[in-house]
Amino acid sequence: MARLLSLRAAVAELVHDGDMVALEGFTHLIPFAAAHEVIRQGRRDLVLVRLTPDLIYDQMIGMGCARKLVFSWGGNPGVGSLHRFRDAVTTGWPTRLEVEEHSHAGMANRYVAGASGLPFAVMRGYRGTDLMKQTATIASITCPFTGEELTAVPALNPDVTVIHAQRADTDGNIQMWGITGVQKEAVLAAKRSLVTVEEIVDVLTPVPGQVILPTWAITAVALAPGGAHPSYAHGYYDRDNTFYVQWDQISRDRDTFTDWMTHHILPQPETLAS
Amino acid sequence: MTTTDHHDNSDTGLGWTADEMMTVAAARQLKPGTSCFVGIGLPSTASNLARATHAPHHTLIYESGCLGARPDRLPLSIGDGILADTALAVITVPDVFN
Repeated sequence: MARLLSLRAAVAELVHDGDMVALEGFTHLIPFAAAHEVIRQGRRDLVLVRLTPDLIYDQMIGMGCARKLVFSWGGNPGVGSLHRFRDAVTTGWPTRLEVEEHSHAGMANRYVAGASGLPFAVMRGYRGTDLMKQTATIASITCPFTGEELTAVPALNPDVTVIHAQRADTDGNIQMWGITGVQKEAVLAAKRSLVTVEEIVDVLTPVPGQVILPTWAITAVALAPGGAHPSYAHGYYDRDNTFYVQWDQISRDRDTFTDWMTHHILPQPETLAS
Repeated sequence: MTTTDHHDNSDTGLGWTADEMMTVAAARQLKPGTSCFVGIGLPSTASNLARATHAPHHTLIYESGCLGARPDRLPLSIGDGILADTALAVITVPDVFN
C-alpha cells in the first residue's frame, strides 16, 4: 500500500546517492517538482533514465546530480539543444557524464521487459543505424522460429521511478489521463516508486482514457500541485511553451544557469514543507 | 515556425527561407489518404500544412501516442495538449512504437 508523504520526506526516503532513477512523463506530466526536491537535497552520482531528457534532466545534470544518463532523443522539443547536457558530455562540467543512448522504441521496450520480469525485450529496431556500435546494451538476436535477425535490449529495473499524475485517492490509488507515455511500465519495472499528484481526492471519478495504478503498485504518494510545470497536467494547466523557449537562453551559459537555479529552484517552496 | 540551432531562417532574398521551402516541398509529398509518423519541427509543420491544404484527411501519428491528431495551431512539442485534445485516440508509448 502506498503511503502519503510530504515530497521532502518521500525524496529523502526513496532517492539515494548512486541510485538508478527514472523520472518519467512523455512531454506531459513530467515530475519537475520531485526533480527539484532531488536537486535541493543534493543527491549525487545518480544514473538518470528517461525517454527525452528534457529540461528536467538538463537541470539535474547542470546541478551535478548525475554520473550517467540512459536516454533517447536528447533535446529541448521544438527548440534545440539541451545546453547543460551538452556541456557535461563535451567538457565534463560540472561533472563527467557517461551516456548510454537508445531510441524511444528501445527504451520503451526495456521498461516493458523490466515490468514483465523478463531479462530482455525483442524488437525490430536499430538495424541500419550506428547506435548498435555506440551502445553496449543493444544486441542482435536470431528468432528461433523463423531465423529472422532481430534486436535485443536488456530490461530496465530502476531503483526508483518517479512520475506525476493528476490525482490520487486517500488510499493511494493513482489516476492519470491524456498522454500517459511509458509511466505505467516505468513504475512497474522499478524497485520503489514515488507518484506526485495535482490533488488527493476521496473518490477517483472515471475519466476517458485513464490509466489507474493501484496503491499496492506504488511506494509513496506526495501532493505537489503544479508539480509538472513547465510541462503540463491535462485538465489542470497547459504546457508552458514560452518557458521551454526561454530555457535555451537561461541554460546556454553556466553562470546564468546557476544563478537562475539558485534563485528559482534551490529555495524551499512553502507549499512543500512537511 | 519554431527556431532551432540548426534551422536556416535566413532570407533567400526571394521572399522565402530555405526552411519554408523545405516545409512546402515535404508537404507536397504527403498525398491525400496517406498517414505519416510525424516528427517535431519542420516535419510537423509540413504535415499540418498538407492537412490544411491538399490533404485534409491525411492522418498524423505523433510518437506521444496521439493518433489522427488535428491541431488548429502548430505544437511546439510532439506531446502538446492540443494534440491529445484533437486526436482520434491517445495510446501509450510502448503501443505506438510496437
